[in-house]
Amino acid sequence: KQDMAKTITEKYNYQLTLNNTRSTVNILMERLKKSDSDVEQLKAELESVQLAKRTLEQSYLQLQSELEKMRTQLSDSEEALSSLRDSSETLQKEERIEA
Amino acid sequence: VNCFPMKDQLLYLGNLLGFEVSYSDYPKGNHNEFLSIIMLSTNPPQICHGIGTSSEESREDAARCALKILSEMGLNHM
Repeated sequence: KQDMAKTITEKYNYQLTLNNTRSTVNILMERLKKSDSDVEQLKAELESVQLAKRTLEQSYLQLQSELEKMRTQLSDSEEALSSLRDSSETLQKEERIEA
Repeated sequence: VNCFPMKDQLLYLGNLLGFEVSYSDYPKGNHNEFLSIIMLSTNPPQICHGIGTSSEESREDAARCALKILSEMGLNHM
């Protein structure tokens, strides 16, 4: 009879232990699930930000090449202007000599 | 302020009855709370958890949980 009571108590204790442990397992599982989904979300965010970065890098390169083109145009224009000025000065000198 | 933290009460009980208490702490990270898992080398062994706004708090909560299960089981059958 004493053995019986002992066994019943043990069974009760194991049941308590099991229930208690299960609630800890559940907490760990939920935490893991949330962590997993957070990792997935962050991965997606990282990918879209990297994509945006690549696009910006592309447009930076394009703008840089446009700037280079403009610089060349500017220096060409300056050259043309200065040669125009030179020739106009020469013309004025010649007119003065003739007059 | 609790003069006798659950953690110390549990440690005292462990020393008295000869079981070990160990904690593993999980930082808040991307979660709402800190988490502590407590393990008692009783027979049967117990695993409890606690949560809180700091590791200190979650350990205290876990120790409270452990004391509760010990009290439910009684100390005669460990």
